[in-house]
Amino acid sequence: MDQIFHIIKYKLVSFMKINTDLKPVSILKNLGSMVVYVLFGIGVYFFTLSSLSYLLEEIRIGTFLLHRFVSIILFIFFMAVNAGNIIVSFSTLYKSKEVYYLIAKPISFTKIFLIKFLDNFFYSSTTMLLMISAVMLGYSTYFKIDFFFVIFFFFLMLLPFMLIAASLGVIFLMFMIRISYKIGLKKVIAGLIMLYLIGLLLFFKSSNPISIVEQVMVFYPNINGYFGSLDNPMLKFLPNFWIADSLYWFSAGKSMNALPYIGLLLGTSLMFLIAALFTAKKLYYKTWLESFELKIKNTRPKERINSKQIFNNKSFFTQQIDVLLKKEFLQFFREPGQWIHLSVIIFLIAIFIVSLGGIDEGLLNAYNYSLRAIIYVVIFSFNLFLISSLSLRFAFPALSLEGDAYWKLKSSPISMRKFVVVKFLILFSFIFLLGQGLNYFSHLNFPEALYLTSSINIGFITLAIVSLNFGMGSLFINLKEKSPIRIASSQGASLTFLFTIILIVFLIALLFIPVYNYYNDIFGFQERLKNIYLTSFIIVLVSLTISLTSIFLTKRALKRDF
Amino acid sequence: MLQIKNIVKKFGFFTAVNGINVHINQGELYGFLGPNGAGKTTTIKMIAGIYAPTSGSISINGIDISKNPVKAKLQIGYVPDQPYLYDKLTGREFLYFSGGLYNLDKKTIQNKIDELVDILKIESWLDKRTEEYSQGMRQRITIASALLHDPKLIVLDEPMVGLDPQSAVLVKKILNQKVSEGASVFVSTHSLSFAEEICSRIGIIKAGVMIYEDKREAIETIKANLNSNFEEVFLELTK
Repeated sequence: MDQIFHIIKYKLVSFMKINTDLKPVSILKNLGSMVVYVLFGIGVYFFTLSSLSYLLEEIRIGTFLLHRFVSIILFIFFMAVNAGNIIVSFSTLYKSKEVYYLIAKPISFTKIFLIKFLDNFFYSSTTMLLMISAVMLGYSTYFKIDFFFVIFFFFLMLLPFMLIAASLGVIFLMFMIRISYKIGLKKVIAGLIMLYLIGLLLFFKSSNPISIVEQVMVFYPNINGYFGSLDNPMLKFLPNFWIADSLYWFSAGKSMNALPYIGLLLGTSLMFLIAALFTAKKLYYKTWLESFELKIKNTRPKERINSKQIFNNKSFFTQQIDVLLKKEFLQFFREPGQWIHLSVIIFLIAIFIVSLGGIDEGLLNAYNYSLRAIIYVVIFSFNLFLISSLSLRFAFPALSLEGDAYWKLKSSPISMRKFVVVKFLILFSFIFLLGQGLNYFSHLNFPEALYLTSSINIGFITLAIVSLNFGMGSLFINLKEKSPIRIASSQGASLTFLFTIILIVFLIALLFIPVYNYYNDIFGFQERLKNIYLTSFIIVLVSLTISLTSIFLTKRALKRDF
Repeated sequence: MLQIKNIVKKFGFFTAVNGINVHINQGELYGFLGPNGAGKTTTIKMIAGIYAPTSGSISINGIDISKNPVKAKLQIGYVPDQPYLYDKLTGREFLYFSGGLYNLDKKTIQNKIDELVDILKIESWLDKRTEEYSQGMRQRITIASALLHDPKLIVLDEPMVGLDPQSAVLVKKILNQKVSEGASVFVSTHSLSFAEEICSRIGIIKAGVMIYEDKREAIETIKANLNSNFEEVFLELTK
């Protein structure tokens, strides 16, 4: 244990030295970030309070349904942490220079594994933790639960929950490498995606939100009671259910009923951590060696052919643009962390689109106008959240990923403007197309005017969000970090995510009243249309302003010495 | 070919390069020496257009690199001190990428790659990803990428680091050949024997200031007068 503490101590010292820069610009930057974080936290707190009050007092969904929705959100969060940990761990456990250094020292492989595992685990997004804390503060205020509940929740519920997801992730990873070594990486990844797909389908089949709503609403107005008998028994084995049910009992003032679940969470997390350490003892070094051979096995034969052909193929572009495009393409598709993560996100988008199939025209017409407006705005915001996640993950790290080889571009006769424009356009076109695809499938059943304006709105907001992420990525450029996921979880990235969320909330607030009025027959049709178009015009103006400012930022930031 | 006029480079309160002047003619091989942290790499990065000087000017073939960077960089072939490459590209792809940045057409790049593959003996690993390369292999690919467009000025930062004796001989041969073809070379090095052997002129920098600059023959005279070797002369000058 001494060795582990010794290494962690120096890792902390190094972290502190990197993050406590006393230059005036850095101090200002940190102060600015802190102000944004605090304001954001306050915003989330009040947003949670008003959302809970709206859902429970105006829409009257009842506390049982509320916590079943929390359970669904937690399940998605669990899957995201689990899949994310597989990708991050692959780069930190198998490709990091620190592992090369430590492996040559008299330290056991299990200890190296534990150090890197903890490193990954605690390097999670500051924004996420801040958001969860603010949400829980809002939650405890609304339900009048003691303030210490938030700390209790954080350490005894959230951390064990995430630990289960992360431990499961690294166990999967080690087995994946073992099996890939025998049957090939592509088959294993396809198998894993199938496994996730089956998991998600089974979950949504057994906890269909619409059917739960219908079953609980039979008991209206007595909907705050406990309807556990309606739950599928299989769901009771899932950690997201344990947390959601515990929260229900806390909100109902019967915290003793939550204790068995907390015990389950702690016990299971410990069990999974031990399982991960045991697997590491048996497999970490073996898979570390195999990962080298796997890399060579998977790349060599095709690249011999591709290498001679790809850059020699005819192109419509000038030579400079042609080579920049090809370089970006190869760098992206030869980095498993990039395309696997993209596949996961596209997969989640597909799930989202499929699950929207339930909201057909009939259902939309069946609800009252206020609910229709809410459904529209919720779907619209979900689209924006997916776009912002894509941007944060791919546009923010884009310039940092030039890495140490950036000297080649800086010393070449290519204008930085051309390089930035090419890089930006690749990212923008790809996220724009995904955004428009999302919009098509998710808004198709809404009235024509809303569908058309959402298409324009999403197009321009995509431009703003991608520009913002790209611009902030240039401002917080880190050419030394090779992992895009770590870059996308850095302080600068968290700040960018906060800005994006503020922008999204602002735009949604701007959009809500005109959409609400559109469904409300009080005003004439032309008047309602005019308001919708006017709002779109404002959204376009705001987006263009943000985009131009961000591009200006990028241009200035890249003039610095590197 | 290269005209450096009174350049200064400051990083905050620290002055890395302080008023350096260098003039290199066509066909000259200039050796740039100095202890660690003297300002060699900073000077070279300014010549290559990576850093912008705080004051002063750098002209390549009469073109000011601060005012017209794209045109000036067309004349330069740059080899950095750390030969970092794009990990996911093969050596061949990196060379095509480099050639494309200089707007060379595909046929020319292909011919130049074939020629450089022979000279630098890089055929056997050209189609492997550069992440599999050793330091020496990376160095050779970087040198090949700097020579693709037949630059008029070749700027190299510590090119001998990490090279085996065969590769070191190869690099010296290439530099001499390029000089005989009319190119100019500006090379920083810690290897005094390398400087003594191939440089026509030598400059020594210490704490950002040029403390000595003359033709190689002048060093020979000093050595003879002091009855010492170049190492002792260098240590004396930089102490």
